[in-house]
Amino acid sequence: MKRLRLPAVGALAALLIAALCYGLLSRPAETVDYEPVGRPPRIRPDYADAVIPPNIAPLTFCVEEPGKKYWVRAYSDQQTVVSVRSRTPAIVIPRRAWRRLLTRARGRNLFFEVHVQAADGRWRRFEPIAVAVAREKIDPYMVYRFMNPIHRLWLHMEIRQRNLENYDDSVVLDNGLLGNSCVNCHTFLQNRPDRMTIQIRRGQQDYGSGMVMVDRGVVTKVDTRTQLISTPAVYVSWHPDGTLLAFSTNKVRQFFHSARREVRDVVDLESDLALYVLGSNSVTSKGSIARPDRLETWPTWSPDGRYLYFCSAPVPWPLDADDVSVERADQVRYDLMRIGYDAGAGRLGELETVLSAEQIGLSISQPRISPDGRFLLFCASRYGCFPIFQSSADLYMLDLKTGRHRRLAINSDRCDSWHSWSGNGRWFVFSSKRRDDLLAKPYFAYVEEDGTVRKPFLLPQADPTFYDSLLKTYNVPELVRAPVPVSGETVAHVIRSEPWVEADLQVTSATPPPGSAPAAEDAGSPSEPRNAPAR
Amino acid sequence: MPTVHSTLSRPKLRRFLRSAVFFLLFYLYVWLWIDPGLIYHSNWTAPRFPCFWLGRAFAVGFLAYPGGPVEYVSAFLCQLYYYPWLGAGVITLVAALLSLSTGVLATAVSGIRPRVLHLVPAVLFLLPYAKYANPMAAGLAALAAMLLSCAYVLLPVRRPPLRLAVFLVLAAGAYYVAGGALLLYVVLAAAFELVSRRQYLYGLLWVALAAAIPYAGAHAFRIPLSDAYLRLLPFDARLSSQAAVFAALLYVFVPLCAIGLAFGRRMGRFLAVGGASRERRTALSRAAALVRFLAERPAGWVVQSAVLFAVAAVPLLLRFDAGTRTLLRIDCYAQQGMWRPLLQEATCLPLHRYGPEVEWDVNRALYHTGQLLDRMFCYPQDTWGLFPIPREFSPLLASFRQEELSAAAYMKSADLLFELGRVNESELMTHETWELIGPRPRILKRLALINVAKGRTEAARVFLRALRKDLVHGEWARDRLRRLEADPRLADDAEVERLRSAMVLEDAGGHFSREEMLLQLLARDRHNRMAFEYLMAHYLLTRQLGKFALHIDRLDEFGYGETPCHCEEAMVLYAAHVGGQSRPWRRPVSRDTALRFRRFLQVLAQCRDRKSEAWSMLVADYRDSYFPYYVFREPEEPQR
Repeated sequence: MKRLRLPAVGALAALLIAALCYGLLSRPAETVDYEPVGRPPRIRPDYADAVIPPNIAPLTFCVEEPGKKYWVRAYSDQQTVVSVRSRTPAIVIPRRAWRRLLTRARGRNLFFEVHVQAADGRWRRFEPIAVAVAREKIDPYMVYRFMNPIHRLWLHMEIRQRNLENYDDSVVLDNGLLGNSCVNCHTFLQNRPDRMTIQIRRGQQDYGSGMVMVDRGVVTKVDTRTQLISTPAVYVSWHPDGTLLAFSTNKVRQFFHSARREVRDVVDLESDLALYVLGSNSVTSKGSIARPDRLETWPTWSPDGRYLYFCSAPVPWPLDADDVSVERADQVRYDLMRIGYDAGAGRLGELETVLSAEQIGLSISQPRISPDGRFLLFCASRYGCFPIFQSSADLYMLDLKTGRHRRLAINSDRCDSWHSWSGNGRWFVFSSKRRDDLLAKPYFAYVEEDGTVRKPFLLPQADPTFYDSLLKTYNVPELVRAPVPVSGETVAHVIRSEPWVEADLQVTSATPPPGSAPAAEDAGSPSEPRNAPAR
Repeated sequence: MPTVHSTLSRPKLRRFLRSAVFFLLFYLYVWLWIDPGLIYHSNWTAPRFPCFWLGRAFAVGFLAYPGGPVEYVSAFLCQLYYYPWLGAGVITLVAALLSLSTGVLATAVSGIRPRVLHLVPAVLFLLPYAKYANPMAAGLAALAAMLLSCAYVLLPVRRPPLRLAVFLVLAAGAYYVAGGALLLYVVLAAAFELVSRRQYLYGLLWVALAAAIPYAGAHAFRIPLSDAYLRLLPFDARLSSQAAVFAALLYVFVPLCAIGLAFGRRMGRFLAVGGASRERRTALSRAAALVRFLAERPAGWVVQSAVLFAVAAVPLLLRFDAGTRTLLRIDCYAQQGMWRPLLQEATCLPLHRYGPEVEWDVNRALYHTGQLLDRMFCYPQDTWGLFPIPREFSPLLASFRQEELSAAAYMKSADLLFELGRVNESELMTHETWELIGPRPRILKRLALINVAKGRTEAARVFLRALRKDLVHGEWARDRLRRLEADPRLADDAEVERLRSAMVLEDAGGHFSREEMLLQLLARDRHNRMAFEYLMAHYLLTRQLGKFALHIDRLDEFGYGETPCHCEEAMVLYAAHVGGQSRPWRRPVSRDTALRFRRFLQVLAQCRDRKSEAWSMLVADYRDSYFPYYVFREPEEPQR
């Protein structure tokens, strides 16, 4: 053994020295001559000139320049420099170093200087790519629906949450636990994950259809259908005081195009708005938000709770229509309306047109108001109220102070829709099909105080090639302040085993004031939920 | 001593020879008779048939739960079925390892080396394949458990604490690698302790300890308890019924074989030592002589081997499903565009096994071989057997025999619509298939081509990049990606160009009938031969001879010299209907067809309302003709 020890130690030392030499020789030294390239490199995803929040996960990317070795220097000033070397075009910045960089760069620019070694061994240095780091953070979580680009059948879908500060991603609700029910349209009260609704539609196993409400840890499932409202709730908005929900009921028909790029399309044959009062478990609907000659949908409350904004269009087909032609569906254009709401009296006020389809020449959908109440971000498309299937769908900003609207410069020539504001109103996330025109991905955009929207960036992933072959679509991204506090198993258990709480119909135009039960003469005796909510 | 050595080695050699012959026959049977290629091609739409993608991301998913490693390896090995000789090799190797480990375990537990019983697991493993099921995951899980059991019984560890540690480490390994198949490991290890080492306490302790492992696994991996205990066991709902039966039989057989041999040995000793009467001892000595003859004499070896092979062959022959093989071959040939062999197979298929999916394939094959309007009534036909339309699809699926076939039906309809040029409908049906069974290679191929044809190149690239990770079709995807780099329209791709020239450009939403769909295609490209022939076939199937007559002269545009047989038959039927009125075609009808029709009418007149009698008189001469379809077939009821 002793005789073997010396050669073994020698061999080990030689190996170490060889490895050290290789490492030193192969790394681009500061003194090596670089051939400057007078342009920034092409990278994928394209983060150049984007504005990013100071709490975002490391931006990983692929350098789309041919080479055999890659070296990227990331810096905001010359004191904090992070150096990443790679034998592949994939550049991954370590999390700690990234965190350090972002802290230094907050409110300033961050630069990525890319060097590529060509096949002949010469290094090329590209112009640095600049990324601005905003001062304001983004809500750290995004809740979204993750699914295949489903057409008619659905089997697998999940509601997931992604920690934007790192790459952690977890399931909020897996429809596999619900007999493949459709889970959709998760809605939060002012970016609070502890107050949430999710809509459920029966799947292979019939657990019913309706609304699942998560309210500070208590899970209830509510059937908002009454004698007058035959379809379950679809799009929901929480009143800021948390006592009331506005929701739409839509008789949805799907149809398919024979020659368009996007095969799928959707039309609402009928739709109305209604209000659900949490305390009394009652539903009410008034003529002005449920007119038979109009299609009302996409409700959203103003942050002060004084107005309910929604979209509305005249019904262009007979009221009992069960199917419509494409030509008819093409004609439907929605106006942006609002109706006053007196929270004290629980009464709806006068109806106003905020922005008509005629003014804008397009159909308006998905209105969402910034938390400060200044801007209304909406989607406009050529027709209808389901923009995700239309490449004409773009985001528009309406300044509620001046009444002026404009198409955002960040739009692509493909579908941009499903937006959600961050709690501080400086960021919003939206779903865009700009990469491939088929699968939506989440993009984040910074909004300046005057409403200027800066270049958006794609949700960063640990693997920079993640999106290259991703066959899923990100649907309904919603920003929230913390992770959803209830587990999917708990929600699924309630859906599977608890009976539906049937909402009562309140036959009055007034909704009860928040915190109070409906008046006896209006809606009978106050009714509590018939079944105790489950935790 | 050399003599002793040779007498010892000869039985070993014979045993080895027998096993070698057995597994050679096994391999040939799987390769040439069963054909794993059929399992690959036709099982791909079964949700249970695993897909496999190269790359870390795919592998990592399998490492996150007990049983995942076995499922990962199984998914990989199943892709090798694509190459039948290789797939057969894989199946044979797994079967051989199952046999080998059974032999080792039985010997360790009982002290007797089994002569033929160790081959039984291989036969059990083969039985599901004879039914074209895929028991690879269950087989690998059992194999992993058995190999670890072998390690346990062979490791020379005697001290109790160390033995406990070895047991627990191997048990944890068995659980992580093979999930619920831990049960088999535990049973075998406990049997070894109880029977061979007579350590009853350890045996029972092992069982008790092992019962807690899945419980701990459920918490460690955050999986449901049912999953933690049952994954890859015969009770696992993810296994096909055939695979579950195989696993159940194996789990019972291996321990019973080992324990049975041990008790047999003890019983033999007991009887030999004097624990039995004189008559019994005589019988025992005769039995021993027979065993010696079988084991040591060449003639005995031959007899023993012949009996073994015969016994092994019987269940395989009894269980082999020739009808399923024909169906799978039809499907496989359709996927590969081998139209003539497809028609040959279809003629062998019993009538009761015809379904919509076979009719779609047969009619496609007839079209591709230029026989659709000449020979389509040689095969069973239904109005919906030509091609499906998306709206009818859900009720149609109810007629399929197996759940898995629904995905196959969606994909077949996508293929047909794609070939016709109904690109959007094909895309819709392909997406439905995707939702049912996930993104399989054939789905990704189809969507890539559709998106290139529609000018959605980036979407096509996403599908191709995903397909690049497939073992079998990866090269095809890489080639298309390279070509897309050079030309985003893939203008040099004949299939894409054909699709572009055929696809409907004028958008309309809603639901179309078959006739509308075909007429739209012909309006887009009047030279779409497939659309034309399918339109004519549709008119024949729906007895719309008036419309048929209006289009008959378009045969000239497609270069038909002679009028196809069924077209002539339809023409004489139409002429008989309209009587003396002028006919809207210029083509003549052959004298032979006119004479056949006259004879047909004579028999009908002779039998008047007695249709069955008429059919029995006509069946010999008119089986392949359109006349009986037109006359006897109830419009709504499919002919079966």
